[in-house]
Amino acid sequence: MTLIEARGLAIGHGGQPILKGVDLSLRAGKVLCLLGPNGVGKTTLFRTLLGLIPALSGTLALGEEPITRLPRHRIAAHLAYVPQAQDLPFAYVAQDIVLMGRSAALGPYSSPSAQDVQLAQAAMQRLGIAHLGARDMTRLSGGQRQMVLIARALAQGAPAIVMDEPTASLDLANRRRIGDLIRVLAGEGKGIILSTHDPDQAAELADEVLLLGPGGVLASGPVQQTMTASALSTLYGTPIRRETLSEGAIHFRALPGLPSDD
Amino acid sequence: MRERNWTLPLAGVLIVALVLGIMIGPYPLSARQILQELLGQGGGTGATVFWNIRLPRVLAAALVGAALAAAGATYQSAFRNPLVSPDILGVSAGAGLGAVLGIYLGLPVLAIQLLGFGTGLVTVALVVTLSLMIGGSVLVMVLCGIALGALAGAGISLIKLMADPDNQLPAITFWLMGSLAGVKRGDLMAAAPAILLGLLPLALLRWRIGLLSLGDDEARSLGVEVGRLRMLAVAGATLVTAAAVSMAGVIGWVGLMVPHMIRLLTGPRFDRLLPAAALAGAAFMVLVDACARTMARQEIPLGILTATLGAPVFIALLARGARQWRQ
Repeated sequence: MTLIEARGLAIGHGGQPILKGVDLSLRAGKVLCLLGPNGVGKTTLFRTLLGLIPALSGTLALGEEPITRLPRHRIAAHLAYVPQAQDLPFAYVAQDIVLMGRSAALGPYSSPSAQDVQLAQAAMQRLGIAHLGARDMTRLSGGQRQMVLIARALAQGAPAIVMDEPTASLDLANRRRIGDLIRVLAGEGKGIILSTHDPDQAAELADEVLLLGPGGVLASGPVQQTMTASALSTLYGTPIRRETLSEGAIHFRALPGLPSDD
Repeated sequence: MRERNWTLPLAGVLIVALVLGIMIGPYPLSARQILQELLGQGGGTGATVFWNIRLPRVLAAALVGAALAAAGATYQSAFRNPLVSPDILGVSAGAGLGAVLGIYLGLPVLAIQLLGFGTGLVTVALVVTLSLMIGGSVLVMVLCGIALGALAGAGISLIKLMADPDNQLPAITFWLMGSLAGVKRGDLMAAAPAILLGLLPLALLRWRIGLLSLGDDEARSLGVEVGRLRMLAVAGATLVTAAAVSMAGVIGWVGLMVPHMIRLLTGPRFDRLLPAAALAGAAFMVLVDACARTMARQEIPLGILTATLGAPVFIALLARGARQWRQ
């Protein structure tokens, strides 16, 4: 089942496109990884997919429906968002944040019911963070906060999840945990689209990758065929070598030397 | 502690405060007298004091306290800013300007209230329109509120300068400091519907208004129509503020301090904070008003008392740990 389908998308703020001709498709049970240098427009693309800013041209459908025809709560029922960082003005506890994921399923004048609280708790148990429920969000570690936000996305019940650099600023153990979790969730049928600055992680987690260069898509498709040394060298503007490790995993190494001018 | 339901205990506190507020005053009433009046068995001076003076005044205090605290909590959530209060949109100053103009023109009480109410709403409409024209960010809106509040303050100063120093100026000055001394049943009947009408959308939308504190992108991604919801929340909060100001004058600090103190009990969840803050604000104002009419031979303006209590408490809250609001 196709969860997100974009064709010829031009995106940007204030009428100025920063990416053009983006084709993208996310299917249930698949992980799609966005790679690209800083400032290329990954977050802008996510914001477009989430319906936070309109696409400048092209078509974007969530499930069967064009996104322009979906009211906010139906977008939320289809696609959950795991932001990279939160700036909370108040000291919410983790369980408050997870419970907020139930909002799209509530009527406009309703507050969460006992059943919503149970669903939120179940999502936290599922990720093994039930014990963090009463803890202040601002006192959690980066990895714990990320788990809470993923639990919120699960509580939201959407079949597709957008994760903006979910492992940025996490230590090795937490990167591993989040990475494993992403694969498990995909195994259970979620469609996940995420961005990362780590090609190795993309190669390990993703079924497909989308390489975003300045202005548009450089290449896209299955990991093995798309993540070539030349494509990544072009993407990051520096020579990169692809190595195959003994277990069959691939690893990318930026070679020493000055970056090329173009 | 957060999981506990604070609505019932605080409702109990409010009832105790109401009874105390009715008992305390230059003509004290006993609990027995109150009971007799409520059962229709009273009479004499006690009845006059109870029905015509004390009860309207105590109910007005409760309404004003609930209104200011609820409005403060709403602004704080809607603007993601723990340091804003009903003053921030210039509502208090705007409503104050209209009421002062009414006093200056010698208008009847109801007209003064209506004028204050009208200018309060006009001020916030201007703030919202201007901030949308300039860029629509939360910070721009707050700064527009401060600027227009200052403009309204200048207007108030100008009217004070022109007012009759023997007659009007004392009335204006006293009213600006906030007082319920002159509140009659008619004033209460004029302000109560507006306050209840403004509280209604806040109460109905209490879960969603809390989501606004996450920020626009996150709230939208959770299914909230952010723009419309924020407008409704701000309109409701502004209506209750303007109605409270036009009845009781400018009473500062309550809208800032009460939500902060109650957040320590309930946690930041708005659906829990709103009813608790409204009840606590009501009880607080009833007790402060009881002090105002008994502490000295003359009535002490409420604004003086709330500032005297509010400033130290607020500094103590700041010192206790900025982690409650972090910025």
